[in-house]
Amino acid sequence: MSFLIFVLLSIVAIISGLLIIATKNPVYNVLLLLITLLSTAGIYGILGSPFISSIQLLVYAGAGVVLVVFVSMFYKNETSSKLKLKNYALALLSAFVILIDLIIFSPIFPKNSIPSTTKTKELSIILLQKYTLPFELITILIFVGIIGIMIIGKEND
Amino acid sequence: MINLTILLSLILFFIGITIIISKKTVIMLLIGAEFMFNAGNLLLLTISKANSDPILSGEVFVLFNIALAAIEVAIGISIAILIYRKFKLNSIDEISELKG
Repeated sequence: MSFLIFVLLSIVAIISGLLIIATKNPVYNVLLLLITLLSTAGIYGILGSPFISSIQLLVYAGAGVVLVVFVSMFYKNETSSKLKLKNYALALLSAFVILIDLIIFSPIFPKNSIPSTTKTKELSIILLQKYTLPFELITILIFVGIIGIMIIGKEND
Repeated sequence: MINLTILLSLILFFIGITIIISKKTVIMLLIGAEFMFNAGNLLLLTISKANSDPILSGEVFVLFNIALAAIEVAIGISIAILIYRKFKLNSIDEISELKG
């Protein structure tokens, strides 16, 4: 069961990655990247780390992709905004991947087929005891990054 | 399944390299970089799971990598907006001056 879902998710990830190379519209490209990130989150869930899977959904697929979508809408592109078959196919594909992600975390899914699920409590204790210094360095890096973005994005010449 | 996951992460990494080489806009460079970050995260988690690491170093570093990728995308996008605002250019082949 879990092997079958793994094969499905990896096929979806590879196909949407190849479609990024084939299509030209940047908004479609970012949405195909979103499908790849969602299927990778499902693979994280199958490998047995649900916390990293949900962080992937929240940070990567939630924040990062939405940021890139908004910026890629600034660039002008020549495609029409009419709904086509391709749009429906993309929407169905992403809905399918989200459905599989939900199935992995639902109680119907047989838990014994997942190899050694990492407990989130265990992970957080290790993160804040053994890796305290890298954690604080990451926070300093994020702070510096925010300051850099504010300086770059300031409206002056 | 571990072998197949390593193979999948290799394939995703090379798709990312192909995106970076074949596309010409700044946004596509960022998308390719995110793709390669994603493949690297998958490989880290797979190796950590395969060795059943007691201190969970692979998973912790995947968390750090996700934070790094978020910062990288935000800074890259602000630089892309700056380039577009200053030079009105979209393609990375036309950007040839270092002077701002």
